[in-house]
Amino acid sequence: MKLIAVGLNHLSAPVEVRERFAVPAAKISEHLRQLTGSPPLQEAVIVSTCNRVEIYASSMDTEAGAERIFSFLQDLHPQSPLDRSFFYHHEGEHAVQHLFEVASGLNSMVLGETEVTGQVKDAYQLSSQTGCTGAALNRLFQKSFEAAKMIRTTSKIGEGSVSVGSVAADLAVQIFGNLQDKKVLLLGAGSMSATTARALHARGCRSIIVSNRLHERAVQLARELGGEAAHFEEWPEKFMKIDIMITSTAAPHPVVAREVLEILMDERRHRPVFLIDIAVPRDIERSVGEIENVYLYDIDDLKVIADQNLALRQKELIHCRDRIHTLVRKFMEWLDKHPGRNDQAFRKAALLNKGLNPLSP
Amino acid sequence: MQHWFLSPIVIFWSISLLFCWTDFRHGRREKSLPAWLFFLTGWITQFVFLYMRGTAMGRCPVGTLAEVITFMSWALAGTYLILNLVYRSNALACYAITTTALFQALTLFLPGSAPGVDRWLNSAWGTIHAVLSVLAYAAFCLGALLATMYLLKERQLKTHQLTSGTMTFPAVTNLELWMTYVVFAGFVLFTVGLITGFVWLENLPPAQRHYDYKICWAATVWLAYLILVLAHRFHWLRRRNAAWLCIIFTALTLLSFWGINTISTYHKF
Repeated sequence: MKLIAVGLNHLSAPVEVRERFAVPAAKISEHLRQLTGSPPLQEAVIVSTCNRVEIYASSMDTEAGAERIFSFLQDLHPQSPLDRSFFYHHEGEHAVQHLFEVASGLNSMVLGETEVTGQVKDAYQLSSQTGCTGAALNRLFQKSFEAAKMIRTTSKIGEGSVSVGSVAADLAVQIFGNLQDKKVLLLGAGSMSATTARALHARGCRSIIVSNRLHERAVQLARELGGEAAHFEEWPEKFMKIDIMITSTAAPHPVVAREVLEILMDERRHRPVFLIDIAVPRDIERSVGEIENVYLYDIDDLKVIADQNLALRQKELIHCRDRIHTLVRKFMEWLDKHPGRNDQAFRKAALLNKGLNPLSP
Repeated sequence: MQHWFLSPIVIFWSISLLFCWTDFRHGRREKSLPAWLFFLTGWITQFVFLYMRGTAMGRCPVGTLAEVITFMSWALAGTYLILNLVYRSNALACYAITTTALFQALTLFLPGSAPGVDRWLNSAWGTIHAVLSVLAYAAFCLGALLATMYLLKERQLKTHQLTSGTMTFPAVTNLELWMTYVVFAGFVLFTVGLITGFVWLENLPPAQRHYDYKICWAATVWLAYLILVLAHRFHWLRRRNAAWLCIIFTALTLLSFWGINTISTYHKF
C-alpha cells in the first residue's frame, strides 16, 4: 500500500486558483465516492480549507493514483486545462510528513495555528463516514492528530500572537487579566481598529464604544461590533469610564495631547488605561506613555512584538519538523509491516454497513 | 530535638527549585509535577515539625526565632499553594520557592533550643498575640513579594520589554489588587495581635510589667502600615509609590525585628 498527497496551498497557488479548486463541504462525499469508486485509488480524504485543497489517498500504484487525482481535478474545471505547476505531489514518506505538518499547523499561513487540526479532523471524519477510508488512511490520520497534539503540548510553536490585533489583546490580558468587564473606546473607525476591537471582543470585552468624526460610520461599526456609537467630541467624557482605547483617526496631528490626558488621568484617579495607537501618523503623543498607569503601544510596538513572536515560531519550526520526522519513520515502519492489503473489500463492507450503495457515484 | 526536621525541608524545596529552574530554562511556562510534589512534601514536613515541636513543648511553636521563622515560612508557603491552584506559573513558583526556602535555610543557622519566650506563651493571650503577629509579618512579606512582582511587570509593560517569565505572572492590575488586600489583611492581623498583646500585658502581675522597647517599635510599625493602607485607599499615593513603600516597610520591619528583640524584655529570643 502506498500513500499519495496531491494539492495546492497558499504557498503554491494564488487565491484565484485556490478558490477555483475549493470543494464545497456538501459535495465532498460525492467526490470521494467518485475518486475511490474504481481502481487505482482505494482510500481518499479531501481536505478543503480557505488556504488549501489537498487529496490524500492510498493506492498500490502511486503513478496511476496521482494521475487519477489530477484527472479528477481537471474534471472539476473541464473548461480550462489544468496547470500542474500550482500543485504539489508527495508520495510515501513525504506524503506522511506533509500531512503531519499540515495537521500540526507547521504548513499554515499563520505558523503554528491550531484551527487547521480541527479542519483536518472534520475532513477525515467525513471521509470515514462516507466509507472512503481503510486501514492505511485511518492509521495515517490518527497518527497525524497525535503528532499535532505532541507539537502543541511540547513545543512553543503556538506561543505568542503573530497578528497586531491579537498582540494588542494579549497585552490587554497582561494588564487587566479578565477582560469581561472591561470597556473599550474606539477613536476612529478604521478597519485596523475594528480588527483589534474584534480581537478584544473574542477575549471577552463586551462593552465597546465607537467614536468617529463621521458619526454614521461610528454607528455602522458600533452595530457590527455590538457596541454603542458616540460623537467624536464626547471622547474625553467617555474616557472616564473605559479601560482600553484604540485610536485610528486620519488626523494629520496627534489627537490626544499629554496635557489633556494628564488632566483626564487625574480625574479618573489614575485608574490604569491601555492605549493602542494604530494610526499613522500617530494619534497619541509619544510622551503620554510616561504618565503613570498609562500603557501606550503604537502600531510599530505591536508589530515588533508580533515579528518577535513569529521569529520564535520559525526558530521552533526546525525542532518541530525533527520531532515529526521521528513519528513519520514509526508510521512508515508500520506501513511496511502491513503492505498490500486490498482495502476495496473493506471499504465496500463499511459502506454496506452504513446502508450506502458502494457503486453509486 | 525536632530541629533536624528543618534540613529536609530546605532539601525538598531546593530540589523543587531545581526542577522549576530547569523547566524555566527549557521555556516551560507551567510548573512541573515533580516541582510541585517536592514543594508540597517540604510544606507537610514543616507542618509535622511545627506539630511535634508544639506537642513536645506544650505550647504554640512560636517561642524561638527558628520557630517563628518556620511558622512564617509555613504560612507563606501555604498561601503560595493556594495561589498555585489559580496560577500555575513557573516564574511565580521560582519566585515563591526561593523566598520560602531562603527563610527556612536561615533557621538552620539558629540554635534549636535557644532560650525563647516560653514562659510568656503559657498564657492564652500571649499565644494568640504571638500567632497573630507572626501571621501579620507573613502577610506583610507576601505583600512585599506581590509589590515586587507588580513593579517588575509594570516596568516591563511600560518599556515594552515584557519577558516570557513575567508574562506568566498574574495581570498587573490583579497583582496590585492582591497586594492591597494582603497588606490590609496583615494590618488587621497586626492590629488584633497588638490588642491581644496589651490584654496579655494587663493580665500580668504588676511586678512583672516592664517598659518594653518593642511596644514602641510595634506601634511605629502599626502607624506606618496605617498610613500606607489609608494613603492607598484614599488615593493619596500613586500605585507605584504604594508598592515601593510596601517593600520598604517590610524590609525595615524584618531588619529591625531581630535587633529590637535583643533589647526587648518580653520578646527576647
